[in-house]
Amino acid sequence: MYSKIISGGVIGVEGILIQVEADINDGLPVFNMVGYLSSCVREAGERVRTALKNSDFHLPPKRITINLSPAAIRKDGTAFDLPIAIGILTSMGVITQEKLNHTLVVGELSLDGHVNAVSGILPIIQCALKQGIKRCIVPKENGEEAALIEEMEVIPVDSLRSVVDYMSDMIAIEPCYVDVKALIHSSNVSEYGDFSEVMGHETLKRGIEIAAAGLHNVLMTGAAGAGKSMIARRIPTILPELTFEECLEVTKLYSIAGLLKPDKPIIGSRPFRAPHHTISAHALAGGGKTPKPGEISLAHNGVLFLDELPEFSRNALEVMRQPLEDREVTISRLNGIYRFPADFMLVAARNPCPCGNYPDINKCTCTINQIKRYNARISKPLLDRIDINVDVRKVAYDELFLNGKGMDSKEMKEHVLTAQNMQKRRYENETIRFNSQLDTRLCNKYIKLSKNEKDFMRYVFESQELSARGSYRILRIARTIADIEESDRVCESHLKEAVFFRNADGEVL
Amino acid sequence: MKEELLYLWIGMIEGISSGVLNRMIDYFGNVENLWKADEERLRAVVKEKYAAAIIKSRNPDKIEKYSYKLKERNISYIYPGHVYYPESLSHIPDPPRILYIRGNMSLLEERKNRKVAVVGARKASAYGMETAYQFSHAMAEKGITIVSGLASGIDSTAHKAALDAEGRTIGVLGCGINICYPRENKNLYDKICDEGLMISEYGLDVSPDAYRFPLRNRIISGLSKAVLVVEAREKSGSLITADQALEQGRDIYVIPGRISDVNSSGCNNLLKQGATCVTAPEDIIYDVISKDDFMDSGYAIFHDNRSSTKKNLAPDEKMVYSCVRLEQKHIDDICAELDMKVSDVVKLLFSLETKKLIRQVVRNYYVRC
Repeated sequence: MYSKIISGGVIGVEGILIQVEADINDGLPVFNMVGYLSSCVREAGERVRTALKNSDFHLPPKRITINLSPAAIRKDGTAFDLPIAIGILTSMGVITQEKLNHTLVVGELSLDGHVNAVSGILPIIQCALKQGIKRCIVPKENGEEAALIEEMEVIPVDSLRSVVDYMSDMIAIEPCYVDVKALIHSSNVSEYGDFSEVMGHETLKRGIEIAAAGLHNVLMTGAAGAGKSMIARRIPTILPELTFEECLEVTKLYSIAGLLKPDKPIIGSRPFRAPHHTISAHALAGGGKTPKPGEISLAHNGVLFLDELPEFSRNALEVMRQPLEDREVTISRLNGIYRFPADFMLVAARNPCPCGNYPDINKCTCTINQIKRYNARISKPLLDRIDINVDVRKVAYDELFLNGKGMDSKEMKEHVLTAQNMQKRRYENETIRFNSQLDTRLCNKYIKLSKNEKDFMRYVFESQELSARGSYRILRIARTIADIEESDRVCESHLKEAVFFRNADGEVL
Repeated sequence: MKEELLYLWIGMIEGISSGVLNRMIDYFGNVENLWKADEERLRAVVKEKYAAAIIKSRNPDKIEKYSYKLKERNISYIYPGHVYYPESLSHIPDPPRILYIRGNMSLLEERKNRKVAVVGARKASAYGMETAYQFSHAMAEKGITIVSGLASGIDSTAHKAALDAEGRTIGVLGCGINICYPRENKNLYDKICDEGLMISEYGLDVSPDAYRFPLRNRIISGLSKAVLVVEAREKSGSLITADQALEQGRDIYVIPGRISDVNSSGCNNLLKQGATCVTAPEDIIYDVISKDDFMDSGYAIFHDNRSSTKKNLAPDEKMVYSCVRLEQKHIDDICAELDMKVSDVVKLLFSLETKKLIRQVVRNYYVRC
C-alpha cells in the first residue's frame, strides 16, 4: 500500500517541504531508500526498523520502498526518521492516510522509539505555514521553538508510540503554546554587563557610541588587559532591542546551526560572537557540503568581535570583505547557491605592536619594523571597511577606583536610539538603513555642507592629505554625530569630532 | 684610461675594504700605478685574494659601461683630489675612496664648513622627534647644512625639518646610491635628491647590509663640523657615530633627557663622558657660525611667531592648551583634568592643532609644538 507524509528540510536559510513516500509491496523482503540521500538520511533505515520493533510494531516481510521527493534535492539531517516510520505505519494500515493530510512531521528516532530534537525547525515551520499546512508534529524539545509561529498548531511528541496513539485518537496531546513577548523579554535581560563598569575610557566610549549609532565598524587598538574585550562585550547593551521579525531571523539561523537551547527557544537579544583567532575561513563565513551558517551569520543583527585581528589568517579576514559590503554571504556549491544573511557590526581589536606596549617607548621592546610588519598583516581593503578607530590604553588607578562617574549603557543607548530613529526616517525610501552604508552618491544627496563647512573640509583634505575615500568616511561619521544631536545639518563641530575618530588611511596607529 | 674612470674602477673593486685599498694606493704611489702594476709585483706585495680581486676587476669595457649607466641615472661621483671632494673628509682616518652623488653638488662646497650631523634613535619618542625638528629647523634657517642618515625616527625628522625650513640637507646612505632604505622614506629620498644632496660610498644596487651602516656613520660625522645626538639608547648606532666623531676630532653636542627614559640613557652617558650639553639651538649655532657671520646673516635672534597666536586663544582653548605638555599626553587625561566632555575637548584640540600649537603624535596622544 502507498502512503505520503509531508516533512521538511532546510536549504541555506529557507525551509523546503519534502514528501516522504512509502510503499509496501509483495516481493523479497528488502528495505530500499531512494531520493538523493546523504549518508545520515540513509542510516535512518536502520534507526526506523529498530525503533519500530522496539515500539512493538512488526515490519511485514515484504518489499518496502521509501522515496523522498523532490528527488533532485540533496536531503541531509536526521529529521526524516519520524516521517519515514509514520509512512511505513500508514502503509501497513496502522494509521489512516486522511489523518495525515495537511500535517507536517519531523523528528529523529532513537532505537527505543524515543523522538529526539532536530535542528532547523523554525524555517521548516515557516515554510509549511506558507504552503497552507495547519498542523505539525515535532519533537518535544523543539515544541516551543515551533510554537513561535503562532498560526501553527504544534503537537509535541516524545515517542513513536505516542504519535501512533495520537493519530488513532487514543490519546490527546495539548498543542504547544508559548508567550512570545514574555520569552523575548526574559531573554532580553542583559547578560552582557553595563558600560558604567568600564572606567576611565571616556573617549573610547564616545567612539563606540558613535559607531553603534550609525552601525559603523570599529577598530580598537590597545595593550592586552586594557579592556578591549570587556568593552566589546557591552556593545549589544547600547544597540536597540530586536524587533520580533529580527528575533525570528536570528533564531532561524541559530536553529539551522543547531545552537538553540531547549530552555531558550528564541534569541531575543542581540547576538555577540567572538570567534577565536585560529578560526578558518569556512567556519567564519559558513561552509560545508551543504553549507551551514558561519560566525558572521550567527552575528547577524548583532556584534562580531574579532580579538587580535592581526593574528587571524589572511584567508579568514579576506572572506569577510564581500559580506561587509553586501550584508549577506554567498556560498556557491555544486547543487546550488546559498545565501546567509550577515548584517553585523564588526568590532575588531588589536595590540599596537607584538609586545603590546607601544607607544610607551620606555616599555616597548619592539623595533619600528616589527611594529610596522605586525600592523601590515591587516589588509588595506579590510581596513577600508572600518570607519572608526579608537585606542584603548591602560587606565590609571585613580580612574579605576576613585572616579565613579562616566557614561552608562542607558545614556549611551538613548543617544544610539535617537540617532537610529533619525536615520530610519531619513532613509525611508532608500535601500540602506544606516549612515555607515552611505556611498558616494548618497553622501552627496544626504549630507549638504554650507560654505563654512566646505572650507573646513578643504582645509582638512589638504592639511591631512586625505584621499577621496577618507573624506567620505569623515562625512559619514559626521552625519552620525549630527544624528545623535538630532541635528538635520552637519556642522563644523560634527566634522571636527569625525576627523578625530576616523580610521585614517594606511595609518599604523 | 681617463683619470676619473680609474677612480671609478677603485670604487668597483669588490672584496677589499677601503682601508686596505688606501694602503695599496699609498704603496704604489697613485691610482694609475696600481692599475698598471703587473701581476707578479701585485702578488708579491698583497695577499693572494686581494691581488686576484684587483686583476679580475681590470676590465675597461665594464668600467666604461658602468660609468655610462651612472650618467644615465644622473649619478656622479667624486674621489680624493676631485674639486668637490670635501676637505674635511680627506682628513679622517680611512677616507672613502669614492662617493656616489645625486642632487645638488654645490652643497659640498665648503668655504667654511657649516655642516652639523643630527643623529638619534629610530624608535624615537615624540619629545625626541619634536626636539630634533626644532633644532634642525632652526639650524637650517641659519644656513647650516643638516647631515643625517635617512633612517626612520630622528634622522628623517632632521631631514624633513631642514627641507621645511628651505635649508640645506645632505643624506648619507648605507646602501647603494639608487636604493631607498627604509622604503617608507621614498618621498623624503626623492625630495632630498631634488632639493638637497644624497651621498653614498656604495654604487648601484648595493643592498643595505647591517655592517655598512657603522661605516656610513664615519662619513656622516666626517662631513660635519659637529654632531648633535638627540636620542640614543645604551647601545645605539648613534653612539658609534659619536665615537667616530671623537676620533675624527669633531665636536659632540648632546640633548639631555630624563634619567628614567630608555631613549636618553645613551645621551646621558655621553654627557657624563664630557660631551657638550645643549638645551637650545643657539648653543650649537653660535659655535658653528662665528658670531659676526651670524649677525651678517640678517636674522634677529630667534623669533617665536607662536606667542602672538597663543595670546589670541579663546579662554577654553587656553585651558586645553595649558593642559598639553611637551611629553605626550592622552586625551582621556586631558578630559579628566579639565572635567570636560570628550566631544568638546576633541573640538578644542582640533582647533589648537590647526593653529599649529599642538600636535597629535600617535593616535589620541598630544604634545605641544
